[in-house]
Amino acid sequence: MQAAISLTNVTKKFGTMVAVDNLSLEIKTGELYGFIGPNGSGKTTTIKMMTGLYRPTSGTVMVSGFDLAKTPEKAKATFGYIPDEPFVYERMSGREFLYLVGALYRLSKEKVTARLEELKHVFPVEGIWDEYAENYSRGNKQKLTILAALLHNPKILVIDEPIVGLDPESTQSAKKILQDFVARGGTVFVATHTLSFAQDVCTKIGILKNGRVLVEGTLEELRHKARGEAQSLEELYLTLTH
Amino acid sequence: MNVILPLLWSKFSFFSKIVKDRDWTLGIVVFGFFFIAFLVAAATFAFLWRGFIFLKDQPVFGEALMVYALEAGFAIVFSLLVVSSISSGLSVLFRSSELSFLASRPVSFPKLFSYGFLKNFLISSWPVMVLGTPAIFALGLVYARSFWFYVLAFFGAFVFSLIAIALGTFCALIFGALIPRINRTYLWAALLTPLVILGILFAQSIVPVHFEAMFRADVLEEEVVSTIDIERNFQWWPSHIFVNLLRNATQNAFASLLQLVVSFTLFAGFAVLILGSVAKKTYFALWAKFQETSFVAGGSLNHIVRRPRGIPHIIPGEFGVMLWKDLFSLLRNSNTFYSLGFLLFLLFFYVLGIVRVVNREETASSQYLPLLIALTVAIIGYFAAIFALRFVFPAISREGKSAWVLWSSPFRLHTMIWEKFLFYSFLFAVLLEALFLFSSRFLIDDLFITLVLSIMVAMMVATICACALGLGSALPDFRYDDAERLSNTPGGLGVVFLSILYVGAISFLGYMAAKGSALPISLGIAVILSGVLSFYFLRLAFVKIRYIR
Repeated sequence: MQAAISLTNVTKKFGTMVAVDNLSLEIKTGELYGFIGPNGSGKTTTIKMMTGLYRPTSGTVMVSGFDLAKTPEKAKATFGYIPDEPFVYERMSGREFLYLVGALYRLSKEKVTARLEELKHVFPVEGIWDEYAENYSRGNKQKLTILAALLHNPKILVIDEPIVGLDPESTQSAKKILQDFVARGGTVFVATHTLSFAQDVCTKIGILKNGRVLVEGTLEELRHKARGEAQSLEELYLTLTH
Repeated sequence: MNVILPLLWSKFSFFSKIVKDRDWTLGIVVFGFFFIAFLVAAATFAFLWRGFIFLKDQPVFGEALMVYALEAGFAIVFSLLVVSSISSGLSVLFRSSELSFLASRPVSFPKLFSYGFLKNFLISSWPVMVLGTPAIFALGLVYARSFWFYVLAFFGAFVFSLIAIALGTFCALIFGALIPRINRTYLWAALLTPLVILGILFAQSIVPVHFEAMFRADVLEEEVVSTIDIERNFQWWPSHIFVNLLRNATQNAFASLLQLVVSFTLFAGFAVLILGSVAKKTYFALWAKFQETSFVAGGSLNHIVRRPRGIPHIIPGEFGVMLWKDLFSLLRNSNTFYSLGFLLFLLFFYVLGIVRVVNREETASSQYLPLLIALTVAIIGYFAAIFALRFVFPAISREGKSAWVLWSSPFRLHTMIWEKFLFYSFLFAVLLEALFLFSSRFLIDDLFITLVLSIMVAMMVATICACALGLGSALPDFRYDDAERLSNTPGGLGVVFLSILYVGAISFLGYMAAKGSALPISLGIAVILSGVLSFYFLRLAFVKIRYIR
């Protein structure tokens, strides 16, 4: 089966500092891949290379079979991205923002309207849709970026810290969204510090440290690698990263 | 003061940063700005010094022209002080994120206002530093005054600045109160009406209706031209008192000098006292209201966008989407209005000056006409450079922390460059072409020369926009909410320097074209130069925006 996302020997340097060091990853279609690691381990940099925001210093990033460096538009059309900081255009209403995103993915106005009707149940944000985004709380901005990522029915979701700022109900909704998305054949790559969230939803987990993958596998495989000393993902993480 | 002084001192921390951290990039920027300010001040000094020497020796017109130069010069300085302090006052007193931080600490609001006022004073007193100081030195040297002249003159300049900036800060408080309370149309009127009134008063004082009557030799009844008409023209300007003070100081009129110093100081003290009292009672309420609302508050917070709407598909495709986004982002950004208002204010002066000064028979038939035309092209180029620096250079960085939206979507980033280039070029070209054609009515009779020069102006505006966009794409910074601050970076300085060189070249070609002798060659060179530069900088933009750096 073709990999949904594949990184081959990807390195990213900022000056002399190596943020991501010769990283190779393969995320298969239908996987919900959790990417965890300490602060500064290179998670966000990896995601930014996956989404075409950063240019890798070396190596190749393929998304849905498209080389992100050679055919960026085709690759980008297949995924939805939820960034770590939910920055949206401050002086647009949520509704305007979503129509803008729809237009960027070449969706007609009618399609966006229909899709927003479908997504209405995901997060009840209609009450604030016509306010400027600058008035939104962080959680509401986060909800807006999640809706924007789902708008064009992507095959892949790339998410950096999905639940920071969300209330408990919305966290539950987010979990369900990701599990439903994978159940319908989609692929999710999620970087997070919330280990309980990763433990609950991820089918495969990779632990990153100093720009390299220390270990990856299912929760059971990780437990096996930790020689049965740890049970929860948090215990596994502490055992494997120290 | 125990809070205010450390806060003010922290604003100068960049000096220690340059020295301790060896931050040479910052060093170059700081040096560049001081160097440019020094150059402007030096040029002003040289011009005034030569002028004052010449006027001092003129038996008939000398004194009148000297008074006119001082009155007009310091009226300009006063206007710049007021406008600048309104603009920075709004920012310092209402929009500063530092203030949001300080307001949550145990610092009283009157203290915060005092801090804001002092900060505003430091920021807005540049016209006195750059234009007033050279005038004082030139005057002192020409009249060979002693050390005490300078002490008195600089004390007077300080008091003069205090009055102007207190007035500007007071206006900033009024605007700060109006912005959250009235809708955009009324706000525009509220912003533009005083600017227009000030502009008309200013133009009437600078270029009086009976200008010729004052200076024409054939109506002279005495040996020396009277200064009464000139003084009458400027009598309502606070700068008039300062000019009187300077004149008395040069003439050793000590009795009236003392009276002027005392009354001027009392006037300034009174102005600051009124401002302080008003601020003490109102500042917290005004600031708090300002924080609760966004720029366009047509009603309650929940109905800021009155009609739910998507994207109007006036122009189809990605280009139309970007155009819509940029247009609305600009229109809904209060900083745009402040900057645009200030630039339009300067343009307004220029237009009024053209109308009132250039429309003279002697100018129209002058041998200096090609030079005047070239100067007009240069001034228009200067405005294009300022517009480009303020709006086009930060255009890519203005995507800010929301840049992920465009860069992670299948949107063709080349379209963004084309859209920004064409949008700004068209907007500024229309504005500046209108200005040029308006000015050329008074300068050029030949329709063909007007056409050629207007083509040159359009090309000049587009090339300057391409230059600003290219450098803005090569040196973007997405970290800031207010990308406009990037104008103060090496890239911004680069835009200014390149634009000045290019505008100089086009103005020279405009001069040649206006003379009529080398019209096709001038146009040809202008086309090639503009084409090459535009191509280079647009290509640079296309290459550099592929990834966020």
